[in-house]
Amino acid sequence: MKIKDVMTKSVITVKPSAGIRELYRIFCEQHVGGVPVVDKDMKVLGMVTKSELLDVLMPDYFEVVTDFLFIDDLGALEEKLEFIPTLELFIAEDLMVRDVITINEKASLMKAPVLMNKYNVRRLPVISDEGVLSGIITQMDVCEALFNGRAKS
Amino acid sequence: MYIIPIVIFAVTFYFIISGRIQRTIASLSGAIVMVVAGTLLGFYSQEEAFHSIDFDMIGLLAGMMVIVAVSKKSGIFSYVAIKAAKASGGSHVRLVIMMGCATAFLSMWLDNVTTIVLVIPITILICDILGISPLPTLMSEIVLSNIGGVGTMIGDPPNMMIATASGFTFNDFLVNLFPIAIVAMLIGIVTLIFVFRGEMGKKPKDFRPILAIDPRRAIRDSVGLKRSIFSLGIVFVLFALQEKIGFNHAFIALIGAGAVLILVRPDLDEIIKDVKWSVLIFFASLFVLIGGLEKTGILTVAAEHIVTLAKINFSLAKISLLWVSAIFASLVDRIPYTTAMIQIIKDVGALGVDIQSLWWVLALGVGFGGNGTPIGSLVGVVGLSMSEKTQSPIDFKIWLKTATLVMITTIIFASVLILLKVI
Repeated sequence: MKIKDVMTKSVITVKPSAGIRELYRIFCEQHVGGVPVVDKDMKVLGMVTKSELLDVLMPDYFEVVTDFLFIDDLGALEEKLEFIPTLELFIAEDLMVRDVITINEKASLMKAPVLMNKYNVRRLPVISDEGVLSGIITQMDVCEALFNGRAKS
Repeated sequence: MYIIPIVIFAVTFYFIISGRIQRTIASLSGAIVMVVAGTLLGFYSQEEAFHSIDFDMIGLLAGMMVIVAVSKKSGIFSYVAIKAAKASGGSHVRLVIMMGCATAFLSMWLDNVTTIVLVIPITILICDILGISPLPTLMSEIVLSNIGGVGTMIGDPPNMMIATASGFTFNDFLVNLFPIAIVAMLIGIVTLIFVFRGEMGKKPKDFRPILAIDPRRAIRDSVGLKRSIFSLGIVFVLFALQEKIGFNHAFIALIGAGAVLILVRPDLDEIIKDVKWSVLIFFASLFVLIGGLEKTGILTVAAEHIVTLAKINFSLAKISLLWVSAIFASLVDRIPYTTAMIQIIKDVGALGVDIQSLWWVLALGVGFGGNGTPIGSLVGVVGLSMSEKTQSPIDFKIWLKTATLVMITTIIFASVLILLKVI
């Protein structure tokens, strides 16, 4: 079974200039966890997932706080998180992960879960030989294909 | 012919301080060129190069690095930081003092940079929880960590180098430098409180979230922590008895490293990765480089000048050494400077001057001088880059107003001690 037999072909994509609110709306209304950011030729520039949306809420230094699980009440910091004045200014280009792990549509299906586990991602943009986005494959797509033993129609 | 080692050293020194090549790679390449040139031209043999490496110093540093690498995993740094924050009782001034002193205390016995790397993030978090600017507390931690490191033999690499070169013991440092470092810390605190008096007028909104934190929950491995502290205890006891038992500095530190590894039995690969090999190689390379430079006689010429000055006015010679060391330490990498200066002081000793006090002057100069600019010490470099992740990063102007001022006041304090013949 090949990736292209299993992938979702109609992908929701965004332009680099898409605002943070538009991304939020896509995640809510379309029930997807991540969208590829593409240029006008449908080449993948990056990927925005719910994690990147949450990252905006966190102060930068949190990445170096090795362990704060022992602190439950974040006091005044919480008020700061509830109101971030610059929140609306973020666009997809600022938020996206740039070094995206993609997969070729002709690759074997088994390559997808291997890549997902190795790079700890839940979905892979699928690209053609020309590097153009042709679909997306999620953990659920792989599971469905494996458990149902058949490709999507 | 003797111009060649000077050129090799000067070029290497340029690359070290300009940062164009990573300093370990620069010094290692310089050391190799020095030995090759020395062998070809006959001024410096491989054996001499090997013997110029102070393995007592390298072993001491490596041993302490292993102990720190093991003990930091237990969560001790967060524990101390939270304890200090709670002890401040909700006063901004007391928070600045307590957090700064806690950092200085840790820096005295453990590696400064590790301390700063682990304490700064938790400090920023505490200040954010309290809704106050982290700037005064961060500056206090950086400045006091540098000053505190001067107080003990193992507080800072320059002190370790001076210890192994001079033969001074752990106790010698405690008697001669510790009290001075404590008073200098007080001077530093007063200076910082004065400069930050405006910002510190802002009271924390609500202290209850800090009071609610149980510092014991910061400890990830309490058995490991107790065993790490026990191993450190062994090291301190052996250091205290050093004169009687006659062990090398390196041997004692490595006994501690062995003890902590046997008792805690951590993942060795992880610990080996945490030991900063590049720093150890940097030191070894510098020793080889300075060994080659020594052959030119240029260091002896410098020593002769010091001796001439010392014979006219010894206090003036000491004060000059103090200020030159402080300025060098604040403007360029202080490790190459200290390595060269140690050799010069040895040469001064060979010319018949009592150099006991010169060692302390050098330690105070490069130690307090580390506060002069953000690049004066690794603590400053790391602290500055971490503060960039906050809303009020430390910039050069703030540094000049605070840390540089502390450097000047503490160096003036040391000069007064020299004039009073305390040092």
